[in-house]
Amino acid sequence: MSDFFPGSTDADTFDAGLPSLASTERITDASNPRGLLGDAWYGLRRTWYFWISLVLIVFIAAITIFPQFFADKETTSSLTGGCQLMDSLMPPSSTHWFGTDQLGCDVYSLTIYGARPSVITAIIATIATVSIGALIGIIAGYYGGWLDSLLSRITDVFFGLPVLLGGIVILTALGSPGLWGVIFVLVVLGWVGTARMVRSTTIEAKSQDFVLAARALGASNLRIMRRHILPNAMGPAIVVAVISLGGFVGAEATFSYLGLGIQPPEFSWGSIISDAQSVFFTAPWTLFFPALFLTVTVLAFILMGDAVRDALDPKLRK
Amino acid sequence: MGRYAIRRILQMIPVFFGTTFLIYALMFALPGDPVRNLTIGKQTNPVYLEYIREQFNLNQPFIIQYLDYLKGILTLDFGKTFNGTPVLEIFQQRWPVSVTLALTAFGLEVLFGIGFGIWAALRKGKVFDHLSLTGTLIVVAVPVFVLGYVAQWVFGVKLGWVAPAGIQDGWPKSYIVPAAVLASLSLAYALRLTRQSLLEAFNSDYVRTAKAKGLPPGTVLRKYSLRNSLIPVVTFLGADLATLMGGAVITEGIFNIPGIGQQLYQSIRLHESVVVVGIVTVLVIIYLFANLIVDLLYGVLDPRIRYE
Amino acid sequence: MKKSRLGAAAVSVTALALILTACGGSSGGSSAGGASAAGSSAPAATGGTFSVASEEPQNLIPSNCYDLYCANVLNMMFTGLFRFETQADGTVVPVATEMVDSITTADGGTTWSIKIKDGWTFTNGEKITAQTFADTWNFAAYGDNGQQLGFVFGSSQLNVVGYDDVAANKAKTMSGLTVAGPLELQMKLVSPLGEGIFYNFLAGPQIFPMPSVAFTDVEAFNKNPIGNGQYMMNTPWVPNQKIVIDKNPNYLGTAGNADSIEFRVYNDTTAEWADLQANNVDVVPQIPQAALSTAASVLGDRYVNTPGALSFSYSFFPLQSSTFAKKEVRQAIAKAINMDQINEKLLFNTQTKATAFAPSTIPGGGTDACGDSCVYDPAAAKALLDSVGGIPGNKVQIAALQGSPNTVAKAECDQIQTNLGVNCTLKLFPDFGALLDAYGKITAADAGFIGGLGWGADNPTLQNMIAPLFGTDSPSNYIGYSNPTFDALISEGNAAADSATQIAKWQEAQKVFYDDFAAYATSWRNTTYGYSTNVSNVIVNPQGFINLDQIQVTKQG
Repeated sequence: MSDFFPGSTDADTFDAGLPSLASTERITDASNPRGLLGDAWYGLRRTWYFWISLVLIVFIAAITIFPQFFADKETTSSLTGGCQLMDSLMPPSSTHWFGTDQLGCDVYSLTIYGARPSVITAIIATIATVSIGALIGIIAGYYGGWLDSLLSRITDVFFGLPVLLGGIVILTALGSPGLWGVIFVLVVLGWVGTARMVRSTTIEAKSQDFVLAARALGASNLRIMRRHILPNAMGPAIVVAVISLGGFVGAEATFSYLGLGIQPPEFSWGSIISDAQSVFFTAPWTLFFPALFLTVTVLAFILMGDAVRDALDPKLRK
Repeated sequence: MGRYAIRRILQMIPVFFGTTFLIYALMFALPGDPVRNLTIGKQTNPVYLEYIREQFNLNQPFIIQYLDYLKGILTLDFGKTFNGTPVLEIFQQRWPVSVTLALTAFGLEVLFGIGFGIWAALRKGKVFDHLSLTGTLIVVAVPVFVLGYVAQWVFGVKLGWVAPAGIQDGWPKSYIVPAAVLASLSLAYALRLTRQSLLEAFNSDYVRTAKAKGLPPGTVLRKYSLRNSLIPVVTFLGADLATLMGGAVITEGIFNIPGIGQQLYQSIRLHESVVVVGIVTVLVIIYLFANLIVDLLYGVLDPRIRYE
Repeated sequence: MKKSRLGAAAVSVTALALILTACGGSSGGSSAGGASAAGSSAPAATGGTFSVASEEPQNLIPSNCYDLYCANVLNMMFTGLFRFETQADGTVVPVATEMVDSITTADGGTTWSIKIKDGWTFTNGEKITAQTFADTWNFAAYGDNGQQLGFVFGSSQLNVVGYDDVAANKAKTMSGLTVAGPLELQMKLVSPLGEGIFYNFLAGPQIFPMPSVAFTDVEAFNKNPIGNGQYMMNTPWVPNQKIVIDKNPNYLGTAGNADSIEFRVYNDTTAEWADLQANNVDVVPQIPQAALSTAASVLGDRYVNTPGALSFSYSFFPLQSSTFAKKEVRQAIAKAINMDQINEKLLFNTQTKATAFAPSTIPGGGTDACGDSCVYDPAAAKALLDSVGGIPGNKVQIAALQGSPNTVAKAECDQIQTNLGVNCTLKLFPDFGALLDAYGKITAADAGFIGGLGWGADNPTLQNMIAPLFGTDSPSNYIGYSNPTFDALISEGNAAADSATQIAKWQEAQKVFYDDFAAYATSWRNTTYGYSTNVSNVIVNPQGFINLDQIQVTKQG
């Protein structure tokens, strides 16, 4: 499952900080017999939306990895002869469950095969932005001084560029190289959000008692960052990351809508939705089904993120 | 704090040059001949094309073009579009529109994002909490162009409450629907962030202590929980302001709002480097100031933070 | 490319006794023209204000106005020598304006004498004389003035003696342009032009007279253009804001109906459509793709979709590439694509399959010049391809632009693949400039790609539909075609004094071009527009110009 959960790297790093955290926990809650991972699992099992999101994510994973078990690729492309212009814009029926698009392609097959690029783009971009952002944020926030100034100025240049605008410029300059271009743009322009967030929580955590105590006890900077600051900073970062995942799927769709994202003959939910716009009023199904899948996917990831965070975050547990 | 602010403002100078250089280089790297694109589908006038190339220094190498541009900026000449409209004039026309839209969106974001976030945190696990969380999930999941067209169709065409496009009805009537669409995604972020930070604060020692001391719940919320938990929210909002101003490409397009985002998109397509560089640079400067204010606010919100 | 359907030309303004009535305003296949029936229509409702959806005009200087949006404004503000009018048979022809006294040639079309009537003034009071025209045209031609329409006086159109020196900034005035009297102008051409095409060349914004203030401060003039037409600027133009023009009380010709006209600037046709549905804008001269399928049911009679706009889409083949070297290969590809089906399914019948370059709204157009090559016949196409041994490598590419759904290119590819058994893929370019750059670099060893572009004619002549695109060394000849026979026939046609001979020569040139089959017109565009319930008598002519002066405001206030 970890492959599909964008926060998995966060969760792993999180584990590194667990023992010390668990010990702070024990000061207030000495009766807790389980380790933190056990705690988390215990919490997760009892969360209803964990199970819902798990089912959805397994389904999305299935269509992402094995689309051929669900649909016929032939019917997604006019180039394989699977689409017939005479079948243009047919409403949903027993042959075409989700109807057909303007070129006569099967919307159900398009939707199934459109999952992979959308999901993979979002996952890679999320993992990369959160890792890079957290690293830079924590260094800038913890060390402060000239390093903070330098990193913050670099952050400024990139963050001053709104993702959408910067993305349009960069993708146009690169000649719209498709999905890797979109991932590149999302990472280059997206890490700053997490970086700033982590930096501010780091600054906040730095002056808190448990950090001061650790420092007084002679803990190294690395150890303090890893064991004390990171776990504290990860809470808000996970919230942002999880919503980013949705944002990135949406961003991929938006770039494709502007024609700068995925390029034919490949297609993603974003480009299907974008193509469907021009016939939306005549054939709403062309837009509705891929949009539905997109929305459900984002929902599933966010619910999962919420569930995992609630389970992991010691401060929130009652 | 004054010295800190001045130092930060001085630090903006290298960022300014970095940004202009970066964007100018990107624009220069755009494939295709900008002048040729001007005449596709109609009769090509070689005399005119040569005139445009001369006018815009397009025959020069990149570094000469860039230095020329910087020289212009020092004399407050930001260049002009291929049509001959000075960039400064475009700024005068379009920035107020975008700023109005962005501030309206920002207002909605602060009001509803933080407001509903607090409410949801206070009612954790109750109906409102679930409703607002589900609502934000949906907003995040639906692409902004779909949201924009749906809002335009519902409020402009079907219900007829506002004109579907344009700004001829002025503020707030012409701005409210596009601002809501523009704000939606950030609003969802702000709401979830506020709720999350507040819940963390509720569980922190100082809040428990305050509660244990028997302080009234309102006071605990205002003076203890909220003040601290606002730090990440303020960080987010500060950074978001600049995004709202420049990120309105799609919203401004759908609702035909003659703002800066629309101009930028158009100018990128036309390869009008000076317009793009000018707009992006101003955006970055706005962002830098928003950021400075955010950093100064940290100190106000959390007295433990000191400026070094 | 929305802008590719534009041309520079004047709009059809009311002529003296020729009132274009709105009989062509209904949807469907009726022609956009109107019968010329003086006084037969009900008295025109005058007064009121209406709004027109427009894009931002490039500028408001007549000699620099090369898009539909400035032309629609300037056509109302200026009166030149000729304007285009739609005839009863649907064709568009140039007709002399009220300002023209006489236009004659004594030597078979090389030297022309243009006499204008006395008493015409600009709205600032300046008198219009022959000198006004000479000054305007010299200004337009001068290279360093950077006027887009200066080329009209050059070799591709009028070819006035001395143009080259002025364009190269070596002289201030064209030697072939002389003022023979206060109201008489003489124009000497390098080579003779027949009446038919000469009049067409004299009907465009570049011909509009400009007052002397324009030449002293053209920037100021651009903000506040002063004309001699039916309407005048209400307030100076502010970029990206609406343009309002009011009736010119001192206009000597036939006045427009409405008191004032408002041009609203849009950047997106979908927003125009939303506003039109809400009756928030009155005239929308282009319907966005997204709305085409529902426009007829939403607007009813107020949606007009008439064939015969002066623009077409064309596909072209890089002849230098070994893939497309054989003519049979190119013909087989054309025959394998079912344009009727594509137009119906993908474009909701807003385009019509082309059988020639010029549509029927052009004198000499609408013929079946392409012949058998443009007839959809998959079996014959396959047989033709097989007869020359197929396509090298058995694959082709079709150029398409990033950022558009590319449904048409995809469908074409699909049909090539299905009907010819040839692998077909899209080759994507960020914009037309990049496409043409790549096209220019194709060598014999390259597989190359099939290109596609659109063309909007400046004037309703068959010549303007083919000569700029395929004439040797023409600046707009993107495909690099060159055939001396074609060039010669075009020139002969240009010089022919008699209209029928002229058209026959051009048709012959078109035939020669089709015989080489380096390119072919795929579709003619339709004139597609809509209007609100507040206005009536809305006609957009095949050139895309709106008959703004004749629109009647039915709902006041």
